[in-house]
Amino acid sequence: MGNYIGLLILAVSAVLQASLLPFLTYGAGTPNFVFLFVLAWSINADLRQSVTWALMGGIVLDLLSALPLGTSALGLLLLVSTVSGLGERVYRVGVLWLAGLVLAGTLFFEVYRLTAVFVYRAIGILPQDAGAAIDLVSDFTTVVLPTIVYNFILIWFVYFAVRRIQRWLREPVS
Amino acid sequence: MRRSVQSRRGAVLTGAGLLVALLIGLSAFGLLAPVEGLVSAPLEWLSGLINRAAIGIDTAVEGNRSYAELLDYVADLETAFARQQSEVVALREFASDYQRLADLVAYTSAAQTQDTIAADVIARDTSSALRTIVINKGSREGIRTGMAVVTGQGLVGRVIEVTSSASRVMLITSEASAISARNQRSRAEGAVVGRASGELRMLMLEPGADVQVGDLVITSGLGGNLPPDIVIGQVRSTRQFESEIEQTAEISSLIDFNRLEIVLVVTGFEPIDLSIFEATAPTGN
Repeated sequence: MGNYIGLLILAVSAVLQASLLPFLTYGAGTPNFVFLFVLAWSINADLRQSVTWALMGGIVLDLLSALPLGTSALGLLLLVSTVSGLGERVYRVGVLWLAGLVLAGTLFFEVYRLTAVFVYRAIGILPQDAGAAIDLVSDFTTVVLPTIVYNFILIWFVYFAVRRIQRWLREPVS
Repeated sequence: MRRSVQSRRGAVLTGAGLLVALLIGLSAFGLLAPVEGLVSAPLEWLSGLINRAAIGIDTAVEGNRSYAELLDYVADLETAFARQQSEVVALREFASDYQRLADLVAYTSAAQTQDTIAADVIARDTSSALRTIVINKGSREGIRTGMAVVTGQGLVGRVIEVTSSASRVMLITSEASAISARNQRSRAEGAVVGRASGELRMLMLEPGADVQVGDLVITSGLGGNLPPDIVIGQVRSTRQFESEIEQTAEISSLIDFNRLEIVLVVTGFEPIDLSIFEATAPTGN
């Protein structure tokens, strides 16, 4: 049941990210709803369920992107395995813990996807015109930093919603 | 007990990692393209619906101006209309002269042979680092990789991926995009590249090139990838430092890429593959 609901939530999140968010955000960065839901779910779920959410979330993200299928799933997989590993050492999820996770997690995930795009372009999997000027520093300041800010603002709402769903489903909590 | 938990954890992560690696490999080489097209179709359909609704709401909000603002707007439009009437008359004269001369030399410009197909924008890339959009026309309608995509306001981008019912377009604002361009007034040539911020910059302009704020920048057709004379944007500012051997210009596109609704795919222009000349060119060694 949890996985079906997860698939629905993640698919709708990816669709909203691909259609609605460009109208609501300013600049090049946008919040990453799929990332937020996977992160919020993995904080209080067991590893197997977190991995399932990471796979589902990554695949729906890549279905609506030019990235090869599985690229985002790999990033999310690394994220949930780290969260799960760290979670074993944390007795209670507090504000600081959540804030730290979303800041570090978003930074990791966005830099990972930026690096993936850079590598795919370099080896010819993604197109790049001769003479195109890739500026990683500019990418970081105009794409990654705004995304971190958006995610930091939204994680509190997403986490609250996810906790309600997890309690409703009576899924195992830590 | 702890060791058993850890080995189960390792098994889950290894299994998932292998699955993802397999997916990336197959997808990167295009082996999953039919499946991806099939699975993404319902997501793209839903995305198209929401995109339409968002554009409708956005247009309604934008259009909700005050009466005084509307009066100012109408006055501005009337002034612009009056100024352009005289330009239209002059341009009609030029067009008529051009047509007579073109008939004499039996010359047909690329612009006159451009067939287009209209398509709806149904999704944008979920990765902020990639500036691509998805349109609801694909190979079934004759769309091919490399075709130019435009609107009435100018160049949008180029088709980079095609499925039977949808196509992915790389926007000109993408960092991976570089387009041969020229200044319409002075004919100064350069390359327009996208930037991470979503803006455009014209590079490789000669140091003394005549480029002024407000000039229109159009495609030059050099390289054979895109038809010539499609509007890219307008010069917003220019920059030249003494230490630099080229001049650069910031370009503003007339298109709002976040609010694209309908685009035209230029199907009548066949991109020319010049790589054959690169392969056979003497190396000079």
